[in-house]
Amino acid sequence: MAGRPGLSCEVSRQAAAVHVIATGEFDHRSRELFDRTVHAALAGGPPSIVLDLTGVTFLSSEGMSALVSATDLARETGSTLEITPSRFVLRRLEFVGLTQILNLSSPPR
Amino acid sequence: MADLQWFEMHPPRGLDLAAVTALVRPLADRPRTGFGGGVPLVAFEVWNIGGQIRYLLGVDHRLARSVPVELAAQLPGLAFVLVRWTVRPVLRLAADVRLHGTTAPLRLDTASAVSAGLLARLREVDHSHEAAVVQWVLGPAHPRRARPTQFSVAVRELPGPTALPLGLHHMSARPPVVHEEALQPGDQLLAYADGVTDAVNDEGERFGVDRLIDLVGRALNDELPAPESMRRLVRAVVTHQFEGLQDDATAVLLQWQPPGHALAPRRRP
Repeated sequence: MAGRPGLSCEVSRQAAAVHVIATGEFDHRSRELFDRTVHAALAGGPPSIVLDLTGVTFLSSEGMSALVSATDLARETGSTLEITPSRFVLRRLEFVGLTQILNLSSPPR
Repeated sequence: MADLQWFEMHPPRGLDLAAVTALVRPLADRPRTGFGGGVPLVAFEVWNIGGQIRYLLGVDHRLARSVPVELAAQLPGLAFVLVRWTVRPVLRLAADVRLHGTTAPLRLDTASAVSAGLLARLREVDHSHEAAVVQWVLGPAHPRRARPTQFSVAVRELPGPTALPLGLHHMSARPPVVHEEALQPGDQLLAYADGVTDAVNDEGERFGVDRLIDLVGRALNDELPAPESMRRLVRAVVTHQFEGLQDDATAVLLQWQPPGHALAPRRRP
């Protein structure tokens, strides 16, 4: 289907943290892009990464797996990773119990 | 034990819930019958499936001939359709209910109060995952009288999450929670991956839980064998998904048949 939205990612390096901003639908098509972006953001071992998912409108199980992998990778490199979910993303993560193990901030109202 | 016959009520157009409950409300005052002096059981259900309202009436078999006729006589245009199997939750009497939250008060003195209470409960239910049903049992709080094996046709989502996804248990100190469910002969359990509900058509519309519930409910209503139900589910998902399936869309349908217990004959498609 032409024009079916995927995921876009951008990295913003700020003084306190590196921000990874993902927008769109996060499914199996987006995994490679997301992983590459997270790897790039973790290069140099920043102390803190904020994963902004407030613009993510869909999250598949592949996307959830990617978030767990990103959390593991950040821990291995000595960085903290905080996820700011959209309401949709938060509901999905609550549905499978991942809110227990991911570092989440409250979604915007 | 009392057997219930179920009818779907089709009220005339323009009739509101208050008028429907006004019809049903007097049944709570029906006299005792039989040698035991028991009050026949009647259950009135209001269903909201994706915004579509349905009314179901379950009537003690001793009243099945008279109640629909009497109600229809009170309201011209009111029709009753006998249904053999209905997609609805297991009947729960007051003695079976375990309160786990604040219940909405339900005044019974007027039909308007009853309908307001029912609507309030419907509004409180989260519609994001399942059909919402409000079940109003007009009868005394006796121990279970209806044979659950006859009426355990239901489509509902099991509680969760009870554990982290497989392979991640090491990341949490919390042990998995064991949820127990008592299955009746003929009960079916459907486990499905998100690839089923996340399948998307060429308009970007997801297959979704509501469509899944509707499809499974129709299969149950039609008394289809489990393999046929699965075949229809697979066909529906594959047809819905634009350009073929992109993600894992696994589904497993289990049907519980205890040893020595023959399942009720199912209609062949």
